[in-house]
Amino acid sequence: MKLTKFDIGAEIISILTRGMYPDPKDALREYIQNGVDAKANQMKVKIRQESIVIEDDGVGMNRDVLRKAVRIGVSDKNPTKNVGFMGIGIYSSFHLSNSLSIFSKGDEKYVNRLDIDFGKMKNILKTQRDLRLRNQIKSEELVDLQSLLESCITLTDDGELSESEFPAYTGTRVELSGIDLEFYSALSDFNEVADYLQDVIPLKFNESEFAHARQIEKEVSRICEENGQTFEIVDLILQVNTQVEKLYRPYQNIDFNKEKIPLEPVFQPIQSKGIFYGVAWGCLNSIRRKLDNKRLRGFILKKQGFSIGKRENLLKFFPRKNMFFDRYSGEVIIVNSAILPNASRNDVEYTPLRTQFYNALKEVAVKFDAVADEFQEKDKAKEELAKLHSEIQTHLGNYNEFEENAENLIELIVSIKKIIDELKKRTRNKRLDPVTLHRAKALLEQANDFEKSVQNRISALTAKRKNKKSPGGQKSKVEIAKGVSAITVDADIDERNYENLFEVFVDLELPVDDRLKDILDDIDEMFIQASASTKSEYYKLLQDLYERFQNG
Amino acid sequence: MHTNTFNSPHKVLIREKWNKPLIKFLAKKLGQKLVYMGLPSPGAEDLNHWIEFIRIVIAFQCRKYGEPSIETQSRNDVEKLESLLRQLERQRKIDSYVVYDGYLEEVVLRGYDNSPHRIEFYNSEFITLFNLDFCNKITSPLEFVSRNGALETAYKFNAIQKILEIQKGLSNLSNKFLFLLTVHCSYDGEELQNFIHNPPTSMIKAKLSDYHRLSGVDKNARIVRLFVIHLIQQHFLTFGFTPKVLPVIQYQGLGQTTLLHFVFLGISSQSSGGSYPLFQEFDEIIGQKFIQIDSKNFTPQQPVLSDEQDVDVDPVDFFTQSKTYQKLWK
Repeated sequence: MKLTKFDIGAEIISILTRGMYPDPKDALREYIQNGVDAKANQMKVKIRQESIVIEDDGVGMNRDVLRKAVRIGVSDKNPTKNVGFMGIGIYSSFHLSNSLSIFSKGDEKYVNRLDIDFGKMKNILKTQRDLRLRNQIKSEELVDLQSLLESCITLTDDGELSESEFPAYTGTRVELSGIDLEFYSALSDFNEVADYLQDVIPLKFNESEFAHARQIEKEVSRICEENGQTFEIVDLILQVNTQVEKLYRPYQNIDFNKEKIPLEPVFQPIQSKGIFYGVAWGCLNSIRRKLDNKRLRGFILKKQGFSIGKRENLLKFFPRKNMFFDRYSGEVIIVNSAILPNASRNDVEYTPLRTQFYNALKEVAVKFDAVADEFQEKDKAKEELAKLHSEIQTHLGNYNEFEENAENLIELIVSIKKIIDELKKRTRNKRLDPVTLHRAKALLEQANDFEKSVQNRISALTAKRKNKKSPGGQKSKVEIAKGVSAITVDADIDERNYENLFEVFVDLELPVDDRLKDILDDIDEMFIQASASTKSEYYKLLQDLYERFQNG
Repeated sequence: MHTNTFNSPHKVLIREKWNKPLIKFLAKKLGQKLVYMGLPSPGAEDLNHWIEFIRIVIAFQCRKYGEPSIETQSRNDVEKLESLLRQLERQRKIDSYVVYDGYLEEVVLRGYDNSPHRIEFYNSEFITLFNLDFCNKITSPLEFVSRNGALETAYKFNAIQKILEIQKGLSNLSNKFLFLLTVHCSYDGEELQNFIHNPPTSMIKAKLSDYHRLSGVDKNARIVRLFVIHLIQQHFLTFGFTPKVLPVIQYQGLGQTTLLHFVFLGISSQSSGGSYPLFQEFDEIIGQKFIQIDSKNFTPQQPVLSDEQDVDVDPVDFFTQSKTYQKLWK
């Protein structure tokens, strides 16, 4: 069957762009992607009410490339190397603006200008639609796509434009003007645009706000280079009216347990059967809790910096689910050129390689879980050691070396023995790190001395009653206290004093409506408060409940 | 008829021969191009004259000059200026720009402009070149509806005060600036009337009584000069800037309107005992001859009052030979 140009109606441009770029920020993303594909180091995005400008210092386009850029669904870009390759991106602002001008200077050193009059195109299509509604036009009379584009696109000839019009060494400047006010409202909030761009652009890490920024950039690049791939990053300055800021990836120390620095990043190459897919990196929260910043919890899938889908999409690959996933913030960066994002950028394209990649990712996820599990065990052990250390200090503080009441002393002995039993258990724990193990042993020694000292006091009391000489040679309270204080316990005891069961649920981020809150209050009063004899016991019960729930 | 430009041959000459040498001098002194805040008109004639010394433009463009802003007025002038600035940005003549839709005083005092999606007034740059060219007769005060719906009045000089207050907060970024101000000789805003009826000092009261013996342009020019210099000097000192006032130019604008062009050079200075240093007596400034434009030259006017002093007609020389320059700028 033979087709003619009249078989592709001009309306297709409106239908396609509306479907592919429902959010005006998607249009920005398309033009920025082109800059990244052009190997730009620096990009500027300037959003003003009358115009939007996207400028890069990439390789630029000569006239031939600009000419080809207006083609639809035909692209010279190599899908295995470039992110934008659909061959429609240039029209992404069709609904957003009335006019698109591209100034570009490529290797031939001529400045060329391409103009697309979207306003005129939209007017032609609207007139045509109105005629169709009134049955005043036959389908054969409808304007075809080629004619529409020919009447609305202009391109300068080499040398026609003065170099002073765009005096860049090489690079491209996209100007959108006649911005539709309805679309503009989605672009006028700096933070909203910045958040969006942070998710879709391969931005640099913020060295001044994130302790591991440089290390991650270097290590991911190193692993990629070792496997014959490159890891792309770009500098981007965003201006929305009067607000101008350089954008970075969103990671900041402050998101990891307040202002503490996150734990050292963990890097895992993603590979299987000799195929290298990319690198995953993740920083674990420095306490055993999910990150406070929900936006950064877990891992995001990226193709060379461009986010694919949402963070929660990768949760299913992590065997321990939210327990550890939410304590990490990290990225799974695909650099393998054969894995491509799908058209809607919410997953990778369905290919056999996709399955292999996800299988490899599962293995990597297990390793991240294992690291988090090990940290959990060690940190718990440290925390418990810190608690025992604190208990000994409390008992020492309360202990009266001249105590006359034997019952009090026996109670104290019982408490110390409990601590000694716990410490013995700790010192047998094979997952304990050497420093903590050494400290636990030292604390056990002091606890034994303490027990001995109290025992001796009991013996002395007994002897006194029987008029016998008391046994000597035991360590004094001061000596034991010195010994205990000399043992440094650097764990943070992460205990929050929940005032009621409802607060536990809130901290666990479980949805609680008014009805459930009433039920929780009743359970709290009837069972939990009833089981606790002191306020501190009540706090402990709630804390235990929190940990039990959180750890699944 | 509404025109997009207020260019007159005299105005062009002032830009080129009076302001440009000062702008060049300041840019050289600062070692960088200037941050401009002003009312450039849709054709941005002033910017075109000085473009080689400017890197950032913060512009206020009303929709219909001389008339209060209303929603139904065309935004053509705003869009024209924006397009021109975008072109300058593309040509790498400037780094960046902002265009506020509205009069300076309504945008600055209300806190946002008249754009369909309002732009909040926000400035994070130390302005090194102000060009406030109030060259048309405009109602003062201007009425506008505030954020909370109340009808408020905006005086031009209150807006200037607010801008200088913001400037003070940015003094860590830079410390020297040029402040160009053009007003109509028959400016009769409410703030001027208040000034005439309630002179703030006995010296001003005496001067006003001298001026009331004159008539026409001679009288108006001297009263407006007295008012403007008193007020600007006060505002400068309030916010920690020592001003140097250059001789005032009296010239013909479009339609034979008489305009006054003021130049203040400001520098952020250290206070001593709660006051900021001032090396120019108010009496001395007020006693200067006006400068007029004779053919294509600046010349001192014939004295109208017997005690009016001669002035140097080279602005840079006038400034660099001043005590203010010697003490604070050198």
